[in-house]
Amino acid sequence: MSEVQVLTKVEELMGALDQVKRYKALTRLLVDFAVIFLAAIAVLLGWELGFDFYRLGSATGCYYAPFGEFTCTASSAALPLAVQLFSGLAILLIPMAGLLGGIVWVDRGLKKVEVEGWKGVLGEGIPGAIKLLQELNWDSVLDDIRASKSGYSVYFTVKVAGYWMLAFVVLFFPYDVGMSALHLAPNMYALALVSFVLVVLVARGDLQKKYRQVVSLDNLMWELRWFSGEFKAAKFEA
Amino acid sequence: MSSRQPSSKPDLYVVARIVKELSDNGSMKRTQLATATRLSYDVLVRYLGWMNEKGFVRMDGEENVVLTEEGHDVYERLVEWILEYVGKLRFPRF
Repeated sequence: MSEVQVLTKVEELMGALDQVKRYKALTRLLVDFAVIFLAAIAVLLGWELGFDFYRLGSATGCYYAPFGEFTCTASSAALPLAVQLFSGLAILLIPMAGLLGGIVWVDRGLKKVEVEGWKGVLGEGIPGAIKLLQELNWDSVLDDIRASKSGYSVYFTVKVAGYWMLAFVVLFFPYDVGMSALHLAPNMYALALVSFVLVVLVARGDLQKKYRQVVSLDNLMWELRWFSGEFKAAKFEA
Repeated sequence: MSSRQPSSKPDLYVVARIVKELSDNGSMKRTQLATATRLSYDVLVRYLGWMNEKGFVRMDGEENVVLTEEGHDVYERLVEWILEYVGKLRFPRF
């Protein structure tokens, strides 16, 4: 019976460390995500600039509007329909593509993280459990947990920011139409605040869960710090 | 039984594998034991020499390797130790 308990406990330990590995990978992948998204924004800016330069080059109807804005009213009719259509939607399509590309990249990266490689060794029973415990590099494990904690916090922040942006975009159109109908000027700050409050309210449960997970990682670190001390100090030689 | 010892500190994992096989199967021939533990015969003999010196195993009249009471106790103590310490860990549900 005690052998089964040992194996169950070691399985739990290794499972928790696998999760730490995933969170650590997430830290690295979030940097990639940010780069992909920023690259999409750069492409959008490039596209808009290129399009404006094209219209400027066509030398029709560009002028300085009030408040110093440079505006081109030239017709783009000379361009193929597909390009005109894309140009109209570029502001939505390109960042969405960046966002989607980033999500796919993170997802693929997380799937590549090698986990559960220890299951075969643990299948050997107690000797396998001993081997796994002996081979754990405790300093590296504790470093990984520390990295995971910060990675998880960044993930948490990025997720909230993403939902916030999404809520802002989704609410923008009805808000704009509503304010126009009432002949009032839209207040973007108010919309941003309302979006944020909505995100916090809707995702409250998820946010609490994520917070508890960060706290759990912290607890796991303290537990393992204690266990690694005991394990290193143990004298197994008879 | 050879009195040669493992060249360096014995690996606890290897010792545990030998003890587990003997515990599960009772007495075993050295060749059988080498196959079951996936150890080369030479390495196994070195480990058996060390374990014999410590009193964990002995040879019976038919040259079979037998786990002694002490060997069994040490293994049990090891399991208990792991259970005592790993058992205290509380793992988060991620």
